[in-house]
Amino acid sequence: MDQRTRERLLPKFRESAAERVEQIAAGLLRWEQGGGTAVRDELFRELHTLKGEARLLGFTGLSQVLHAAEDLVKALPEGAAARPLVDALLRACDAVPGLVDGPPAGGDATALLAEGLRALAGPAAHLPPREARPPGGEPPPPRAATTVRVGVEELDEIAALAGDLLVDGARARGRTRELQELLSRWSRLGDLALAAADELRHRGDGQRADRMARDVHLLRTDAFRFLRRHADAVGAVEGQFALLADRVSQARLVPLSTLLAGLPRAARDLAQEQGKEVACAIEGADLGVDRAILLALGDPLVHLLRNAVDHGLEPPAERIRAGKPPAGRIAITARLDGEQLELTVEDDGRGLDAEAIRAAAQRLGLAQEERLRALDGPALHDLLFLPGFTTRAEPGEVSGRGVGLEVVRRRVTEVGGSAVVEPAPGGGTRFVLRMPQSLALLEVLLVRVEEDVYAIPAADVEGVGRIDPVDLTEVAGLRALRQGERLVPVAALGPLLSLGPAPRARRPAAAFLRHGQDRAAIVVDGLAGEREVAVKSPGAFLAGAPYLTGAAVLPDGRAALLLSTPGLVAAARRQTGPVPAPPARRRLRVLLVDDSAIARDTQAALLRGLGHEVEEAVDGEDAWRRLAAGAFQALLTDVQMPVLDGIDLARRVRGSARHARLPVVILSSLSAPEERRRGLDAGADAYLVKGELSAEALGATLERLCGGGR
Amino acid sequence: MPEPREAQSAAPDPAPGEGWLFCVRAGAGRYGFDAALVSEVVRLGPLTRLPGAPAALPGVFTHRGEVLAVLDLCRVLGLPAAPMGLGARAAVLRIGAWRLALLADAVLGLVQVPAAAQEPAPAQGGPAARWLRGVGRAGAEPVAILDLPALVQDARQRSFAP
Repeated sequence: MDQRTRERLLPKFRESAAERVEQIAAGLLRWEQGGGTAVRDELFRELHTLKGEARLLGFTGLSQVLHAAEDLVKALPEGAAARPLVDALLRACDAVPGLVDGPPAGGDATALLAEGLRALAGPAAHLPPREARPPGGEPPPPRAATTVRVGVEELDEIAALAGDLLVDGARARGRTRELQELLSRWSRLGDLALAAADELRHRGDGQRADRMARDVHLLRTDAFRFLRRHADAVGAVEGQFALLADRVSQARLVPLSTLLAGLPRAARDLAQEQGKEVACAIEGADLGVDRAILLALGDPLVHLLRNAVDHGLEPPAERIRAGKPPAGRIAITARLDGEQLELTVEDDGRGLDAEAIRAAAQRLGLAQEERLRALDGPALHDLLFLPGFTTRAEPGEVSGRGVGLEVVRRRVTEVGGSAVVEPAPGGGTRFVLRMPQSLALLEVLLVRVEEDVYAIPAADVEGVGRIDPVDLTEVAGLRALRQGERLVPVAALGPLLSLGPAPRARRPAAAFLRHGQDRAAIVVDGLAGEREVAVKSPGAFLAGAPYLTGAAVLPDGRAALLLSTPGLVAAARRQTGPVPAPPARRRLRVLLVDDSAIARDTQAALLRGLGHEVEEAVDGEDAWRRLAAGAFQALLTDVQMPVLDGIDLARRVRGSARHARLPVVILSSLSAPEERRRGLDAGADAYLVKGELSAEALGATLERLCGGGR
Repeated sequence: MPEPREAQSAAPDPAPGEGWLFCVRAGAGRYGFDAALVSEVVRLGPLTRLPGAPAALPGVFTHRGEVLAVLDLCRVLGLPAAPMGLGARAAVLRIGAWRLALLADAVLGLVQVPAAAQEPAPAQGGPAARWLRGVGRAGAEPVAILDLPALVQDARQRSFAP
């Protein structure tokens, strides 16, 4: 093979080698759990193909290692006796990525690796020194002939184009309707022409009258015939576009196996580190999911696996005492429920310990003892997802660092999914992740805030309707709707998204959303119906924008922004929703000080969204002048500013007779404890970090400092 | 925070692309930036507002099937908002993986300012000081040359910090 061909093939080889090694590792684990000859055949096939490819590209060292691995696989005994050999083979698997990145000849390390494998295989396996025929009998299937690798970006672009075609198809249907309307008007004009022809006939000009009438009839017939043909054709094209979009979005799906295949191996390694045993079974790995979903699932699944090994499964001795088999079981199952993908990670370990959860939550100061005692079932288990939650007093080697489950939930909700934990039927623990299978085509409910259109996944909408003020009640400052036994929080979308005021209508329209166990009624200015849209990624620039999960182009060319249901439901539950009555929160006059116009803009939007009045100052001196001139109920200031910085401003405010009692909140990008201390020492009442600033936190702080009302 | 960054020293050539600047008007000032960042000038479609976004990001619109966020340069610079009626012209920017539309009071177009006609930024640079790389002399009115990628990055970070 010439150098250029080799260089061209090398990246593909590296990619496919990684996939094959993963398959081989998964096969080895299945063998260990009693896989049978089919597994051995598969191992041979993969090893043999990989060896052939390695040889083709000149990786002689690697091909020797693989050859020795083949011999060792031949010698693999059944059951637990295979473990030391499987260990050695897995170590060899781990070495492959390094070898394909390294020099082709491989060097001493490869020779040692091959030698080690050969020694384990014993003398019997040495027999065929050169080419070993693949014992599976069949030569490896010629993959290249039936599949093509396509770059994901290209496929995404094709998917986006297919989505656009779909929108264009809908537009064409709209134009057909317009055409029909136009022709009806011509037809009405034709009626007039026919009447005029009659008149002509009465006046004796029969010939002209006949010609006119005939032309009108002919034109009308031809026009409507054309319209029908055209409408049929547009309908057909639209159908084809839909099919195309559907197929492309199918083609974009990546099998879950790419993600799941490595998990049994990971579970085994983790368990070994802790002196535990585990058998990890995967089901539904052939399901295809959107690449974006797959990417979002990687970290959460690995973390859930670690969590199961670390917290769920007991050590063998404890399991035997409890009458369980010494090896723990972890089952990772994927299945489709309509358009939703459901992934469960279930172990047969010690299960959820309500007392341990309560104790940990109290130790971490996440909730008060009284409240904790009242918590039970799903609400109690939900504490596991709180930021910083851990039942370990000391961080464990594997998990228990208190960063895990919160991240699991966040990653899954970012793609419009949910994560819950529940007791497994057998006594263990089960995590259930649900999310859309594909983000490409989605049935959505369109809602309006003023003139702007937003989309909510229809799967999350339980219904739509109007909210009658008589059904509203207030519980602990939260506006809620009585629905039978249930109280559903109510919030208006405009204020929720800091876009504008709540609708003034007496009985405003609302969408009833459900996310997992949580519900919320979202009040909107108008409902614009349900439809299927091609969802686009909002693009790199908008990645991380609050509530935003995607965008769709509507037939009229407007963009509808796809909102995250979990985000909306959670925000509605937090917000003391002023719907439809005037705000219950006290309106404060706030002086906002920041030298950055952008920062001021952001914070002013938050404050106004909370219903407060804002005056802006560009530095400490400017703020001091404005304080003297006006009456304010709170001061929000940045730290690093020219002329007079926030610390000196806070000191000056505290030192003055007039403003000594004015609540001062420092809003800084610096989060170090000594910075906080410096701020509080200067007399600030609160110190908020810009990067972590939320409407909720700001609102709560102001409420705490300024009181509920005066 | 407001000290002008040492961007000048970090970028040896203050205006790549043979000195071609894309110029816009914001308030009373003429601002220019590397013309290579602009892929086209488009007319704004109807905007859909972004949840929880500051006024500098008034919304998104669609252009040939692509959803583009609009960044209002005037608001970034602390000036009154740029007019954004239907048909207002905006420059579509490509900055790394980011695609967005930059709006200002007016699009002025391309101006060539050779390196010799560029001067370092003055010590007091006004609202744009943070992102000012220099001042170009072209015609009667000077052009404030912006480090646009830095400006966009700051605006984005302020808008939705992780």
